Amino acid sequence: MQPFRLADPDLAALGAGRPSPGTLALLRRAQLSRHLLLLREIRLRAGRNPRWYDRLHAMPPGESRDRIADPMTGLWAAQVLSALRDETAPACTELPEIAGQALSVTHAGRALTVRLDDRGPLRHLLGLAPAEPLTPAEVARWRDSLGEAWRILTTRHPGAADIVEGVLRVIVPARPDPRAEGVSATSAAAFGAVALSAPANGTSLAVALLHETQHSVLNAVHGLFELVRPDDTLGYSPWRDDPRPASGILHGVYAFLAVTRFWRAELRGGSGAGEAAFEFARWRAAVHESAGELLAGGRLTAAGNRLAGAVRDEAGPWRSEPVGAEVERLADLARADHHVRWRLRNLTVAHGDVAALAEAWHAGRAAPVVRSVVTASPRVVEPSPRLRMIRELLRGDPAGPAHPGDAAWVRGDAGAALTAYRMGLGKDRDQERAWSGLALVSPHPALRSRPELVRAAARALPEADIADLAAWLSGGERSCTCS
Amino acid sequence: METGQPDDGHAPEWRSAMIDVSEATLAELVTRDDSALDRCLRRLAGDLAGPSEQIAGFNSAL
Repeated sequence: MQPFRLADPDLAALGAGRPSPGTLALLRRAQLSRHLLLLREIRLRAGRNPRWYDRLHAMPPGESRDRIADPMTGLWAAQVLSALRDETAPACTELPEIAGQALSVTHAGRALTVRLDDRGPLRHLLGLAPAEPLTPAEVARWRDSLGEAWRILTTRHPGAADIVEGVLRVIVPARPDPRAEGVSATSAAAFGAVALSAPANGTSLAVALLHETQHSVLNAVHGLFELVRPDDTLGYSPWRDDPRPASGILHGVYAFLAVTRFWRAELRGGSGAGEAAFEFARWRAAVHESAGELLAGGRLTAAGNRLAGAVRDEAGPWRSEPVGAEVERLADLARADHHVRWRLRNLTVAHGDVAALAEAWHAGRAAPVVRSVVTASPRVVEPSPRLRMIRELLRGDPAGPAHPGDAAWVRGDAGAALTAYRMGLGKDRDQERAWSGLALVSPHPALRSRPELVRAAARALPEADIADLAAWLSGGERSCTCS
Repeated sequence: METGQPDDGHAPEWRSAMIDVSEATLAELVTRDDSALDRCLRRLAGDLAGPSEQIAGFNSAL
């Protein structure tokens, strides 16, 4: 028995999102090894042969091996050991029977077979509320969607199809989330299993499968080589509304590398030009910049740096590929909108620092340098009304009701947007939408780069003009004095 | 799992602390008294005990 080894070019190829068949086979062997070791430990702690052990032992060797390698076996073993550690009752003491049914789809002679697990007792452990057991009509719809997704992947994304084929084993139908058109999840304990709400179409399923299998791959790599140093520091992830640790940011970067490549190929293939161009333009920059920030942040291990460096090198050249000026503009707007909303939601200025700012303002001194602090907050999902408007514009849909500032911002009229947002804040300094809008169009650097700081000062100094405060916090002279 | 490689970021080969037992049967592993297996298990158990979460994506929110 030898340690797992991976040649450096293979790790770099993994980082670039192009694992070889040999590397995917190594990851599967690693997961099988993991499951075997966890099951061994459960058996040894039991002090006797439990029923599940005897059942596995009685199976033909190939069947037993497949059963042990199954993603839901890994999930079961992890929850049993966690319960033993915590001295609590596991969700399921006996290894459940395989549940659900096989879905096989074929395109151009290439087959994909997965298990649609709509009734196993461990489904909830993937992180989403599982759907009720499916009706035959619902199963048929899943089969149709999977067939369409597989046709898209094998036709235009053969490398991605290789990864999905090499990793994906189980799909757990999840309940839809009223806040989102589609939800999906992956657990580190279940390599090759994904939870998904019923997809709207084959394209959305193809993207979701790519996205989630990337998480599975990264989890498996992290199981072999620690990628991130233990660290509780939280930061910005362009894909989440809440602050994320470096490991979470790396997961986002890696998943969206595949998503970006998908939209790039769709764009080149002439499919869904507006949506494909927008998604490609938006995510290529986010992936490249976030990978660069991870590399500069000092929180990755050597292996993590190698992987993130490969991601950055892969996405870098994509940034110079033409997508059209209007799409590029809208993509930039969408990324900026997410970033300022994230800052306003998750960054605060300490009370003492706000007091120091107010004191300096009253004294007519330059603004002291103060820090913004990330506040750990539970996950929120808050779809952006501006992103909705951008999508409407891309689709050519009639514009729905909108804040006048947002409408001006989306059409590129920064002056009108600035006026509208200022008017909104003139009436109510707690209008979050106006704060984020103002941060997008303000001429003042402090508002654009640190809107949470200007907001904190404006709330502490209700008599001060926001534009004056923003200029002052940007390093300018105070333009007025207050009594 | 930690890598046994020097921290230079460009090792020619990355060696995992995880052992490949994929060719063994569960029965063989249960009867095998091997400190290397126990070390591997401790690392796996450490991963289970660490901060973990399911990675959930909310597609349309993006």
